[in-house]
Amino acid sequence: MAEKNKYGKIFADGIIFNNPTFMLVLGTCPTLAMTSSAISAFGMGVSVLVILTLSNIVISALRKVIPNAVRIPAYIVVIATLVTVLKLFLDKVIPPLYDMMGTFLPLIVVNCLILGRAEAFASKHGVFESALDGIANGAGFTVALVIMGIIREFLGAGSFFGIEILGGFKIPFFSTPMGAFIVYGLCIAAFVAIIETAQRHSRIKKTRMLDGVTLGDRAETDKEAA
Amino acid sequence: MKAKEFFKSNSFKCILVLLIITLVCGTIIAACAVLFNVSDEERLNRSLTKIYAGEVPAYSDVGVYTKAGEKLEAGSGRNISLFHDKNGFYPEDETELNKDEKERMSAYTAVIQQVIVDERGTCLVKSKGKGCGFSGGSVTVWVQFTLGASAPERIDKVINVGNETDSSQTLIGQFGDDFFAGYCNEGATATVKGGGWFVTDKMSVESDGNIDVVSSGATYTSTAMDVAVNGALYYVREQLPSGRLVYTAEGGKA
Repeated sequence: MAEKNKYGKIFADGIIFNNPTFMLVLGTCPTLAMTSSAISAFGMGVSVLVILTLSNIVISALRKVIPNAVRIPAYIVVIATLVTVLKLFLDKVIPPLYDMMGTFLPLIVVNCLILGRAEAFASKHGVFESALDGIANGAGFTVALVIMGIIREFLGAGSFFGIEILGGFKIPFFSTPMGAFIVYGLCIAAFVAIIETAQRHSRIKKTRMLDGVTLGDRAETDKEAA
Repeated sequence: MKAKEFFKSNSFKCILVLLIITLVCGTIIAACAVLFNVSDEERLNRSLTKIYAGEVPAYSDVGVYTKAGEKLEAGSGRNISLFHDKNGFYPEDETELNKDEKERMSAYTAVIQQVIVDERGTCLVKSKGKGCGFSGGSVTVWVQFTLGASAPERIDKVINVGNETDSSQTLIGQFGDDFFAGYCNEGATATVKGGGWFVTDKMSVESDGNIDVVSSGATYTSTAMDVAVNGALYYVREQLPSGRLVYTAEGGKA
């Protein structure tokens, strides 16, 4: 049961409470560049999820072998290898995605989210937990990018996943970098507000439950005394 | 430190681990490069599918020729030098510029790498704007021309093939269809017919007489695009009267 809770916490942290895009503000470059459409956002998110999971697994498996003094160069070599393999794979198997990502595919190597999770989690935990952490953070990154992609594509191009739905109406500003920053800021504000409100309600509910138990215990104690 | 102490030290362990990781990763990358290799023919088919947006007609590779009519070896490419100032592009061998004027202008090179003519009579030229992109990188495009009797009539399509394995390709963010459509619209067609050249204006899209301008946010890379397209345009204008840009069924491929 305790293990289930631990894994549940890893998932919840990665997707919601420590969402890498909206809470930790990591990986801003691909977030702003690849969210002009929902499809490209999804493609980037899935690529990062794959690299993050695999890099976490490999680095966790090698954590006892790699000396502390050279851990960063070793991590970067591993991450760069995985990105290169992914690049070769996409070029062969999914060329449209490869073309869509362009220069931002090799830039995944320097995505601070991947190196950050390797350093903060994978180097200190087992392989299975590190894999879960990679999947959770990758899923959180993907969800965040897709949300931004949907908003920017809807407002900037009047379409939803490539399907035109506003009959030609669009506000091109939201397809520009300036629009990306504004949408990003608003999404962070909304996300943080929702999470904090939910956490506050949860705390109030727990406090009331505890008060209810305390009062109930006291009433019973008083009865017994009487 | 003695040799024995060194081999037992943490420094040696660090170097050894890094070397082993690098060797293993290098081996994995080499194996994947062979496993996921994309041949030149496959790349060409992808480009043609993108250009024709559907069924690819029969075509023949007519080869690349010099001005004198000498056919170059496959894969070697022909360099075309272009001078550039704010008023436009000037092919070096057609430009009556003195030494001072040439020194004032920027000199660029377009490399014509491949020329294909299809059974419908359109001509595709693979052209590289060399060394003038972002960080001195290059840009490679396919340009599709509709040919007239003695001169090209218009550019039908331009696509970027910059993401090839050629390491000289410049990093390109997102040059969307809007950018490339600037080479194919009415103003661009007037430029092609009127003997003009393409010049990028980073601020706006305008049609100004014989010079058409295309908007983009990346100055160097869009200049490189113009060099590549102008190089292809120059080559077609030069070669078309010679009768070399003709589809032949013997050399045709479906």
